Amino acid sequence: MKNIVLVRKEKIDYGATNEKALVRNSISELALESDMEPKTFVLPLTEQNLRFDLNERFNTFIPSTKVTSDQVSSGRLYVYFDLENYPFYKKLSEAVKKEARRKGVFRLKRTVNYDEDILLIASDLYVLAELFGEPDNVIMKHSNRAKNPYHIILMVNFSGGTMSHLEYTFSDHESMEFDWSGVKKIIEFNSKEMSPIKPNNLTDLPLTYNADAIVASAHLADQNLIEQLNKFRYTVEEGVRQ
Amino acid sequence: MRIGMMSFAHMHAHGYTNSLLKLPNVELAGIFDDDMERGKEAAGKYHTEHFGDQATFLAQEMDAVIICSENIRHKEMVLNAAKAKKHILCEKPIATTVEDAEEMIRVCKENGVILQIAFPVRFSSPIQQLKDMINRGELGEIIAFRTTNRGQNPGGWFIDDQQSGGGAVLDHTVHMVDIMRWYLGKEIIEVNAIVDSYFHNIDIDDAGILTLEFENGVIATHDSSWSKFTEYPTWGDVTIEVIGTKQTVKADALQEHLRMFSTGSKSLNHLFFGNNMDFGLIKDFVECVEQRREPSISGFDGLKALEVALAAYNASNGGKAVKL
Repeated sequence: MKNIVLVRKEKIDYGATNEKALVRNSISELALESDMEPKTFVLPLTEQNLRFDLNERFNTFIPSTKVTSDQVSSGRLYVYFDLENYPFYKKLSEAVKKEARRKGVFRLKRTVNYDEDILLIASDLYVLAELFGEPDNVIMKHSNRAKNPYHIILMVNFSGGTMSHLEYTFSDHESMEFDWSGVKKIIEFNSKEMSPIKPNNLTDLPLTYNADAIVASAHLADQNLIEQLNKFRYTVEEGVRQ
Repeated sequence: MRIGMMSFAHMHAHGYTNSLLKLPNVELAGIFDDDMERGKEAAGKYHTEHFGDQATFLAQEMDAVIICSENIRHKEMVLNAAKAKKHILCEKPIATTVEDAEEMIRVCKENGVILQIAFPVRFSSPIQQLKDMINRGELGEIIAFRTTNRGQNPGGWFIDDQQSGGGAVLDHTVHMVDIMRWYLGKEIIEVNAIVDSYFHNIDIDDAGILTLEFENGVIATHDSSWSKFTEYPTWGDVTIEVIGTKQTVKADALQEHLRMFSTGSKSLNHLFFGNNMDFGLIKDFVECVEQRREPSISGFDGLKALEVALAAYNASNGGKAVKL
């Protein structure tokens, strides 16, 4: 089976991606792909590519912010979550899962571009719920949408025993920082500090992931996933309406 | 100027006393501490007289006192010092209840003495620089704050609710609430919070996160905890990030440090070389008394910070926002 991964091009670290991941600009270019060899095609995340239906011949991987309720039935549509794919998040997840008790404080701060979908927050909640347990309670505050930057705060009490602040600033660049304070264990990450090239604006690292990771971690877009995601989307949409 | 110390229960008493001794125009008038062993030890260390009786101490000739007792005794000592006509610098939090704080402010006013609250973070150079940038309009309009004050479990009376009146949330909320109020010049009108005890198997809170809203719509988060352990490279942190319409700027009062690596259980140590906030606070208080001016950090400032910390407990217990 062949895979199509739709992704923002600056998100892919090709140096860390399997050699069988092939870059294409448009899904129409795949019409001639008739061999049976498994391949992964990486394509830009455009509205045109999102609308193109090649599901019968390809598994398609789209970001969680783009999936809609009517896309459940195909069985070949997969959803990937931005946060889940970052190598540093995987390391955090591995370390936290080793803890016997996941009691602690988790703080996440993301600065994202102005045009980022607000549903990214719902996607992050989905990913974090897998790590810390279902949110028992979510309180949301946001700044005046008419002013830039737009800032959103979520205070979440996860059922696994973690209290959390998730903060999003919609601005002109991307960065991410988080810290986990557990019992006798503290994990800290700041993408600005961990950039392997200085000045930071010369590289997208470490805010990148690879196509293999997307294929490996993606979730089948089934009814259960859509319902879970919609629950978090509702929380976020209600929060910003208040 | 003669200044006396009232109680060495709080570890900041040492920093404040050392700061007093650096000032050429100040004489340490003596130390009151009814924990006789602790008081005698402190008096020996700072080469001054120890008083085990509060009334005798307050009868001495002196201009001002610095109170570093257990939180629950702030009220008693402030009222006694005010009635003895001594100007007062009181360790934070001002008190353990709003009513006590209001009474302290009133009695100080009635007796014509200065009541200043010890928020030394206001005297951190990076915190002051950020304040100056805000005042010059370099951040534009403030949209949000993001603050932390996390440290180690101080133990002792701090984890005894009867003496402290609260744990990490009371201990570590008031500093950054004061800084946010100072930066913005506005009051907090709503507090949401989660308060719990996670890290030290103690009966008092050691973890808390607060979500705040100011009267002008600015929103804020605060993390106040005793989450750091002794092997962590430093005691903790004091940070504020200000998200403005022109730019976002973060200040970290404890960021200026060397990284020292060594063998042993603590392989990395941060050696702080930033400015001495305690000295800035004490110098300001002494100037305030000398000039008989209004304190830079008033009893009212202490009260407003206390209100937010207490509201955090109520919000967490009640599971809903507390309006102020």
